[in-house]
Parts: sequence; structure tokens; C-alpha cells
Amino acid sequence: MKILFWTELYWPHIGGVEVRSHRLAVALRARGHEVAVVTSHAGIALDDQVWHEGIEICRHHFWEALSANRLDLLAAARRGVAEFKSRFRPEVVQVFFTDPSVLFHWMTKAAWKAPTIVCIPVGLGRLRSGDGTLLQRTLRQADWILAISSAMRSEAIALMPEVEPRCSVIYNSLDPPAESGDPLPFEFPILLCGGRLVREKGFDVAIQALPEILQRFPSANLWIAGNGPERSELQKRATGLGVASSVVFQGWVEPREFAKLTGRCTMVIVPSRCREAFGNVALQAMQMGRPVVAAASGGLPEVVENEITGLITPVEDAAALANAAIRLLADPGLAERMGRLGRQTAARRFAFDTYVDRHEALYERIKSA
Amino acid sequence: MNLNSSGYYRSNGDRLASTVIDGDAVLVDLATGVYYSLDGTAGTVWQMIENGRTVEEIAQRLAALYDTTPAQALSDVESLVLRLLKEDLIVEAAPSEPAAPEPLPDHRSPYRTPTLEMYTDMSDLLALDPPMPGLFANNEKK
Repeated sequence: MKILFWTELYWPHIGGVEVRSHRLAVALRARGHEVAVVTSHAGIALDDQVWHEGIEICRHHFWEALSANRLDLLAAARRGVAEFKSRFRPEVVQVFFTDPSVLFHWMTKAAWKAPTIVCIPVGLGRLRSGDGTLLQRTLRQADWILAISSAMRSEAIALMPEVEPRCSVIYNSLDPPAESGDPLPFEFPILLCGGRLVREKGFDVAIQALPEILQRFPSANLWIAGNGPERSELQKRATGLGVASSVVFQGWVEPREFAKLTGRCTMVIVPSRCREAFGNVALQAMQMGRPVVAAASGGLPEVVENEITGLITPVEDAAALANAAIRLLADPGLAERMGRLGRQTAARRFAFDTYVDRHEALYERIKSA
Repeated sequence: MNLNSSGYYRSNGDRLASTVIDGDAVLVDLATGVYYSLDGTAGTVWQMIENGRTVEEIAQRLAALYDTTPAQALSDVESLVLRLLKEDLIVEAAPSEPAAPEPLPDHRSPYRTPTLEMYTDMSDLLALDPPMPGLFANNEKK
């Protein structure tokens, strides 16, 4: 089958959606499908047309056109997309809806008719979906809407109730880890947070919880892997609370290296205050046999089963987070059991092959509908 | 809002950027960042407004180009022009030089009611999950 992926960011950009769409594209190609990607330069001088791992990647200046109202770039991108669609002739288009570049897809619908699956890989809750919005047009015109968690499906339905009969869930997945990780360390416990250093991730809540954790376990350290605009604020907060020497800012870490870090920690903390669409960091922790302390945010409670594979705490509740971490540190047997069950759940419920199977089945269904 | 079917209009160039791509028009309100699109028949109407045609002339031309009646075309063009006025995308203009008659195609195209699509949430969507330039696999730029 000929499948066109539409995603604002794609390899070599690194991030949740770009990595996931890349892995899915490669896996589909390995099963005999022809996959092409329409994507954006996103402010970087990349080749307009390139092949990577058997996938044709076609880049346009979507971001530059729309963020700077550059109609010359808009016109060029629209023409380029129309030409590409006419040449590639996809049988199904999957849009990873994270940005307004989908406008170019709708503007070029007439160039080549193919059913469109709109995947929702980020929380849409703060958007409005009234008349005269691209969000409304996108939800209305999609032949199928694919959410990566039940929480995201609920968000889509809340924004536009009529999408309910054509909206389903395929949980995210990750490639199986290359290594299994160390035994959980308890003598010098490591609590790991990972992601962009932005307020929505709630890493400040983890820092806020640290003094109480250190009172019981003075040798504990909080590792924060990632970079972003909140870094100096987080450092200031750690200093203000007198815990700076126990917080290690790892900076940006490549995905493969992040898996290794995960395999060295005692637990992973996901304190997001935004509605997480899914919780890839939590899933990676489970793959590596780590218990997870996660906020009850968006799709996180669907990934982490409370009291089974981790502990769910209220959003922005530093005291509850501290208590959960202390409970795991005080009971290594519980932490290890949760880690084991997490590994089993990751392999069974979030298996990568199943993830690809489900996409294939959806494409077949949409194509022949 | 009153419409003068014999009157002339022009794009509100002070606050508007516009382009026509393969017959479809895209407009941006530079003050608000709102995007508009006028596809197919609506794009044809937009081009004729920019070419200094009156509403009546546009409707006549539309009925000649597309498979619709002059009355339907006039009603639809009036509705669209009113909408464009309401959105401040066009303003009244002085009469222009009569344009030379344009040739008619051999066949009329299928007709669709000309409509204005607007997108008021572009800035919200740009902020939804913005790219963080600099994050590359193996630090490669390919």
C-alpha cells in the first residue's frame, strides 16, 4: 500500500512525534508498504528531497511560511505538495496533527484524492474548535481520527462530539530496548525526570518534593534529562530549596542515551502538569523495569497502572509525589515488583509489532471504506 | 451592511497580503494573523474583484464559466462579497477602466457555491508543539 505521512517534524529532527513517525514508517516499509513523508524544514536548511532508510522525505517551508506570513513560501509549498501528491499517489494519508501545516494538505486535497487519517499525538485541550478554525476543519474533514490514548480521544470528542463514531485509539509504542538495565539502585537512589524543560512538564514539582525525600533518603539524587527555556528557573528553585547539590541537570540526551540513563535509575518521575497525550517517558521506564511515579495527567494513568506498575499522584502535588517516591525507596521489594510488572506490561500491552499491526489494519479499513 | 451590485471593490491592501495559486486565493490579515482561503469558484471571484469587476460583472462571468444560472451566481457572489466586506478583506473602490472581454472556455466547469474559509487559530496551532531547532539525530543535518 502507498502511505503518505504528514508530519511537521521528521528525521533528523528528534522528539516524540518525529521519532515515532519515523519508526512506524520504517516498520511499514519493512512489511512491504511504500511510505513517503511530507514534512517541514522547521527553520533548518535541510535538503528539500531526500531518501532515508527507504523512505522518500519531501520537505517544504511550512513553518517559515506560516509563522512569518510569507505568502511566496506558502505558494511554493502548496505547489510542491500538489506535485508530490500527484506523483506519489498515496492510497491513504496519515496526518500527525501537531501544527497548522495540515492547511497545505487540505489546500491540495484536489491534487490527489485519498482518505485522511488524522492522528492526535499531542493534547488539544487548550485549543478552541469553533467556526472558522483549522482545528474544526481538520476534525470535520478527517476520514478517521486516531488518538494515542483514551484521554486524547475524549479531548477530540469534547472539541467536536460528531467525531465519536470515527475516532479510535492506538496506544503509542516504542522499539524494544537494546539492553535491560541495571538492578534498581537503593544505596544511592536516582530519581529520573526526562523531557523538555518547559513549565508544562512540572519538573519544578519534582524539585519541590525533593527536600522531603532527602530527609528520609539523604543519598538520593534527582536527575533531570533534557533542555529548554525553564532550565535556569529550575536551577534557581533547587538552589532556593537548598537541594541544588542533589539535582543533576544532564542537559539534552539522545534517545538511546536516555534509555541507558533510565536503566541506571531507581524510579522515573513524570510530574507533568499539562495533559500528557500519552507518556513515552513512562513507557520507556516500564520497558527498562523501573517503577514510575506519575501525575494523573492526560494519558499517563492509562500507561502507568496505579499500584501495579507505579504510583499515580495528583497533578502539582509535591507532597503526594514525595510520599510516593519515599514509599518506593522504603520498600525495594515493592519497587522491584512494580518494575517487573512494568516490563511485562510494556512488552504485552504496548508491543511494537502490535502497534504496527493495528496501523496496517486501520489503513486497510479506511482505504476500502 | 449594504451591497452595491454595480459598485467596485478592491482588496483591503493596507492590512492584507494575498496570493493566487492555481486559481485558489489565500489571504492573510497581517494585523490579526488570521488566514483565509477562497478555493475554486471563490478564487475566481476574488481574482475578478482584484481585476476591478463589479458584482454584476463577476456573476455574469461566473455563470459563463461554471455550470450555474445567472440568478444563482448573482445571489452567491453577493453573499460572498458581503462576507468579504464583513471581514474587512475588501473595501469600496473607485470605478476602474472597463476590462477587455475575456474569452470563454469551450465547456463550463462544475459549479460549487463560492465560500470563504477562515482560520482564526493559526497562532494557537503554531504554539501547540513548536519545533526546537538543534535537536538532530547524531547531530546530523541532512
